[in-house]
Amino acid sequence: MSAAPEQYTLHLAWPVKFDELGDVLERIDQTQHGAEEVVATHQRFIGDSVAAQSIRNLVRQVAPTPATVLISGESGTGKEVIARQLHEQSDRTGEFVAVNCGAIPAELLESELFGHEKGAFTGATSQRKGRFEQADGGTLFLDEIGDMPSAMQVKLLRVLQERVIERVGGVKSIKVDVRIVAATHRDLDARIANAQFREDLYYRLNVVEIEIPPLREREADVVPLLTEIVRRHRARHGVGVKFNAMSVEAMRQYDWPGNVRELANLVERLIVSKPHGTITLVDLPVEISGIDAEESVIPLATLQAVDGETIELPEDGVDLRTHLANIERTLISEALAKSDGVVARAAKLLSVQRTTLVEKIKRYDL
Amino acid sequence: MSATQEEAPTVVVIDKRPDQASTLKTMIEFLDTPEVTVADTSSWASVVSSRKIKAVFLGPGLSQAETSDIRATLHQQCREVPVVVVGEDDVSST
Repeated sequence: MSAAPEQYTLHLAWPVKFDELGDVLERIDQTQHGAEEVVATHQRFIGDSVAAQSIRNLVRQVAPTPATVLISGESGTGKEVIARQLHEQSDRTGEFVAVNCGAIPAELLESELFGHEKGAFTGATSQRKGRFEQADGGTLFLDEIGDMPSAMQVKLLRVLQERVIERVGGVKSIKVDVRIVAATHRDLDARIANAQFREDLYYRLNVVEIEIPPLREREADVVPLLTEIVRRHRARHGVGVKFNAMSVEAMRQYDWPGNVRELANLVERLIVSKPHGTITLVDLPVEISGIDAEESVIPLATLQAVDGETIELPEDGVDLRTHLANIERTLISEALAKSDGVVARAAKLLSVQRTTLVEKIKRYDL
Repeated sequence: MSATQEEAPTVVVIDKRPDQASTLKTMIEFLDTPEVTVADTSSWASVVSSRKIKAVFLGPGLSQAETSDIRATLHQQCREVPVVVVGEDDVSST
């Protein structure tokens, strides 16, 4: 990791929760067992797509400068990962501090960012430093900046212009040396047009813009991300899964509306449901695999027919061609799943020639 | 920092409140980290200088000033040691 933080500092909320403590101890272990790469890679922006490579190049160029950066992209695309990289690849020795402007109630945001003096308001029983002071010498990541209330936008603009803050209830101006990285999943141009976001603040923040495309536009990143997520799970928990070719292809083709976060959550679920197993098409959610559980009712009936049992024609009849195609498609999917995507083995299970099966796989887009 | 003998590195929990330090020690030990040493604000420096250190936990009973001082000293002595700051976010007692 270039420009590694001089002191590796982690934070843990009190009272401590076992799972959070476990994560912290694991990260410490990883840094001390020749796995310092893990510290770097847990924040690495993964991907082979042209977009991912361009973003990594831009981060490398911008990180060492003091420029304010605005990161835009849908939820789950990795905006905080980029923000952390900008900090880690800079020579700033202070902390990286993240604040979600959309998650903190408007009335608390000022105190959260700028701190408060004792007695500043009811409940302010002690002095409290805000995030700006905490990030002094480091980087302040303002996530969901598009959701920042208007009143706070004015105050933030002043800080960006003058580089001083005042704690709530305080009279003293405190100089801060903070690099600002902001992010949003919102269309700030539209919010400016609707008078929901200040144009002058937008230009202050948007000195350098990094736009992260959604995962559906970065098909080439799905496999590297999948590999990395599984690798991390294996490193942390000793449990992983394998994916057969068909399931990987289905995941590559999927739209991922929840982006990388959705992919990571899915992998976690699959590892829990099938630890050390091989994930096949049928293990994936229907929206990814295209295999509907309801459809499988028909093939099951057909399998019974194969075994010599009878099936009944529904009262309202069937479209025989579609019905048989569905049956064929499902049987082929299941054969491929059982044979871990090895076409020759699946062909044997179905008693057809390999070339015939390849044709059908293409026809059914499997 | 110097280790006086070949020993397993220890996690050091520094806190002014023995009950909180003890809770943290128990939890860390429970998570398969057997070597945990508790220290307070007056003894931590000698513990850190005499043992091989895996990580330092700064407990919630320390004031912000104490936390900053310890971090700064650790930074000078052994910057490679991970520091875990435990506490409610940035609330300092004045």
